[in-house]
Amino acid sequence: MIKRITKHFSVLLFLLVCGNTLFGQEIDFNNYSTITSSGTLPDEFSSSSTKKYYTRKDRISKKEARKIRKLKGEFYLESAFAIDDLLKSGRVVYNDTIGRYLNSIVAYLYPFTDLEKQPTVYVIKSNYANAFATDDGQLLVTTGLIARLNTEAELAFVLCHEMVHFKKKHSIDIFIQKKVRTSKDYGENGGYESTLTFLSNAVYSKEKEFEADKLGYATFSRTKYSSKNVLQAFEVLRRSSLPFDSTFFDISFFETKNLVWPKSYILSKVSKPRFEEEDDKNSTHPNISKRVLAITEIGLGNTIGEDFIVSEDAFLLSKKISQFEFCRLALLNADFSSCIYASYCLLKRYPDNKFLMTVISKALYSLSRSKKNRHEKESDDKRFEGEQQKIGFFLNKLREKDAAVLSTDFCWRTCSKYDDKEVNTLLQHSFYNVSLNFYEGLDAFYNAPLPDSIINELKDFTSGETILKDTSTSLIPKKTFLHVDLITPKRIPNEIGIRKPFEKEDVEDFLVSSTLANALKYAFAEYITDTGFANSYSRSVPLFTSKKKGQIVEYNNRLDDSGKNIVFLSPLSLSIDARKNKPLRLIAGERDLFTLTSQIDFCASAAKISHTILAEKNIGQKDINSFNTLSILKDWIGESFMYEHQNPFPADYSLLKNISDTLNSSYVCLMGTVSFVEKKTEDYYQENLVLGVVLPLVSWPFVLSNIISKNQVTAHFMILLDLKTGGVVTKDLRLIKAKNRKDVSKSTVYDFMLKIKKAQLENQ
Amino acid sequence: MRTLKILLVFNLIIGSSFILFAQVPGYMGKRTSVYITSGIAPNFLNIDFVPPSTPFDISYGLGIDHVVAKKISVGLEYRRLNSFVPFDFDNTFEEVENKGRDYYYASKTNVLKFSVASTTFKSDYLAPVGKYFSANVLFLTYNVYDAKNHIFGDNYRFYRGGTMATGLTFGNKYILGDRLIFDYSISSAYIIVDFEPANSDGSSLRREMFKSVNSRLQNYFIINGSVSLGYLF
Repeated sequence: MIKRITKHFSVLLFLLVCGNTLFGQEIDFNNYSTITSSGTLPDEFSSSSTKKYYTRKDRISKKEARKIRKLKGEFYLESAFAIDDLLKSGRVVYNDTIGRYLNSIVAYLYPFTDLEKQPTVYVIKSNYANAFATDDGQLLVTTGLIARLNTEAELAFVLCHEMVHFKKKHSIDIFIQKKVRTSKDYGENGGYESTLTFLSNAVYSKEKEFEADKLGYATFSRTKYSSKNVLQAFEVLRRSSLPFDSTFFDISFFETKNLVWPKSYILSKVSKPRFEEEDDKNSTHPNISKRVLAITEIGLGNTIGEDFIVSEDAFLLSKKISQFEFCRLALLNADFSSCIYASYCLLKRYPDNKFLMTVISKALYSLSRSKKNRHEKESDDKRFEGEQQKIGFFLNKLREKDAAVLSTDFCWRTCSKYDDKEVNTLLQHSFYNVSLNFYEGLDAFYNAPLPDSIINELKDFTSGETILKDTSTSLIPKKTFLHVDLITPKRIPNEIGIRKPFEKEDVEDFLVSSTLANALKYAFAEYITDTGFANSYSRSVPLFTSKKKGQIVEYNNRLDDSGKNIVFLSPLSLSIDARKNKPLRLIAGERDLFTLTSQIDFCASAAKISHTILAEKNIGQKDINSFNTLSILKDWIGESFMYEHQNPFPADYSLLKNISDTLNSSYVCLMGTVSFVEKKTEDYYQENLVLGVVLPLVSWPFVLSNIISKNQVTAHFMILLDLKTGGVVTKDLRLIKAKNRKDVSKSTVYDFMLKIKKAQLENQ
Repeated sequence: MRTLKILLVFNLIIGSSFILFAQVPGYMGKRTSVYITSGIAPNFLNIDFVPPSTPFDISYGLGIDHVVAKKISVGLEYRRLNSFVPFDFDNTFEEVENKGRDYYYASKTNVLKFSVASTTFKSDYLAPVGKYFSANVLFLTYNVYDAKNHIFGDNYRFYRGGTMATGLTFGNKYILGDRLIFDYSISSAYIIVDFEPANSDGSSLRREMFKSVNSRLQNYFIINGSVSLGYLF
């Protein structure tokens, strides 16, 4: 009793004293940048996974059955590495505004639980609505979930639910039950793990989910929160596949007086959300309706309680941050539809927000880059639900030229509203895409308003049938037809001179394309004479024009003066043995990782390369800045790979520029090692035996050694990226048919360093 | 002709300088290694292993190796081996005919091996680390002594001569502590040139010896394994 009172008192004191100072931070949403960690880095983020595994393994009681001890050991191994992967992914933040708020909710809830230790909450930067608990007392909540929740009480219920998972050690129970069940089936079915087994595992999960709901609700009902929020929380989960908002989307957002899109680009009706037809047969989680039913069967208690106890302001701030983060993450993941729709919804609430306008500009610019490089996802609109479908449909319809003009137009609109260096630079880069599509550059565009006749023509393209009534294939001028870049390649006749019979869609597509191609030339009419616009264009030309020939070239990815210092990111190391049931050799992989990190440092010094190493191993607990820098650079690396290094304007452009200035480098190097042991097939043995019979006696030792020896391959790779352009400066891959050896690895890393050095010297 | 010779020598010097001082990685910038080596070869001919002959012949030597390109190194090695040879003289050595196989001779052989080693084509090892194969040219000189009966005195040298061989070596090099280099290899060579016996007087004994020693050396070079330990600088 005394303990409980002390708990309550300390929480109240904490909330009273620290509440305002912790949550009342001013955040400039006009210049929003991602949430970052602060304070002292927790031990979990910096200590090795192997060490964590051994510490936890030692805790297993020797009284337990040998089999259970073994399974628990396996669980600790897998979970230690899996959780560490997540914690060190750069997507988990600690002691940020949201994290502090979540921890204070947990501090409030803790006295109502019978937990021995107060769990720590971390925030994951992810657009999925999810939360989960580790067996070690860490609760992880995604920003995607916070962005969708409506009250603090909903969030509190989710945390209560997760605390039950932690208390009951559900993760380890599920793991063991799954293993035991799988091994039974293995015996019965001769090694065939059927779908039924998988589904039975899902049933275990569902049972645990129901238990967590029930006990979580029991804890929740002891608090002063209103119970009606529980049902709301379930409703949020049910709608988690939808965007966080459902604002009506109007295509005029992308139109101006002189830039009008054809009707065929606009989706008039959106399809029904899928969640209404949900079926949990193949899901690890039970159907939301069943969960709601289970809770209502217990009976809702205190429905007149509070929606907010810790802080309403802090909740709203956390939600706002999460929603802004949603836009950033969608852009990072090249999910343009989500990014634009989320920003569009937020713009309705915060109309003058520079960040949101910039995000949309970046998304449109990246989309036009993707269209150029054919990276855009097919049938984008099918993935989305609600109003977002309209954007997916529209972006899918856009062709390379359309996207280039739209992105430039939107960038200029943003630019004229906010005179900002970042947006100005983005506009200059947008001109690159325009120049690629309109070879005369700005000279291709008219200084006259878009004629009404063209507008009417564009708005008339509603159905193929209407067009076919009025036009026929013979009306298509041959000269215009040769202008094939606007027609998708699959519809171009196979051979010159031979025309395939036109289909309705072909005709419609062609007419829309040719009319739109003409219409696009009026797009900049309103401001083409504006000195700012013209100046920006003239400044952009040297970015991509060859000095000698005046031709348009790709960005220059050579090392410049800022390449004197190289940033080496935390290397990658994987050790895989395909012969084993668990192919990933986690401990060996981490050992190789540490060795590689030391080797990079040593070899860079030996090659006299000025360098900075950003690796978890080297980051001290007080060096939170390096941790944040590493997180942002990891995000950028992922983004860079997604665009195949063809996007010079990343989502975190300004942040990266600051990092570049701080580190005195614009070049980031990623190295890694993958060691792989191949599983030999029966065919392999048979082939070798045949060889043994066919070949003379002398060759038998070789055949024998082939049969006995392991088929091992080790790949060492290096890629040096330019932070300014996202391009690859130099890269290398070495394949060695042997296990990973320290001396070979060091020799290879040193050679990579010489390659970097050579790139540096070439530029001097 | 003289100008041509001068040009050739000049080119050779320039070429060698380029190779020797070329910008290649080596192992962390270290390209040259000196090493001691020891080898072992099965004694196929001496099947009865009558002492002092042994089932294996042991060799020992020292060498130098220099990395000249990313995957190529050149080396020079001096090796010495003692092989106990039973000679079945039949009727050719009438003076000691009745002694038959009871005569044993020791062949003390000096081998000067020039090798060009390349790390394997299929893997991206960088010389001097990792698996490699090397093409070798061997210059051999040998001296034959009466090692058992000492008929003509302890240090009487029956015969000396020379020969040349080409060979292949497959091996694997490890670097220990950034400075030591450990290598194990297996090699085979084929004697291609029999030098004229140095002091041949045309007697049947010397002819027989010449043939026997060559076959002995070929026996040694059919297959032999070596381990080396060197210092890298």
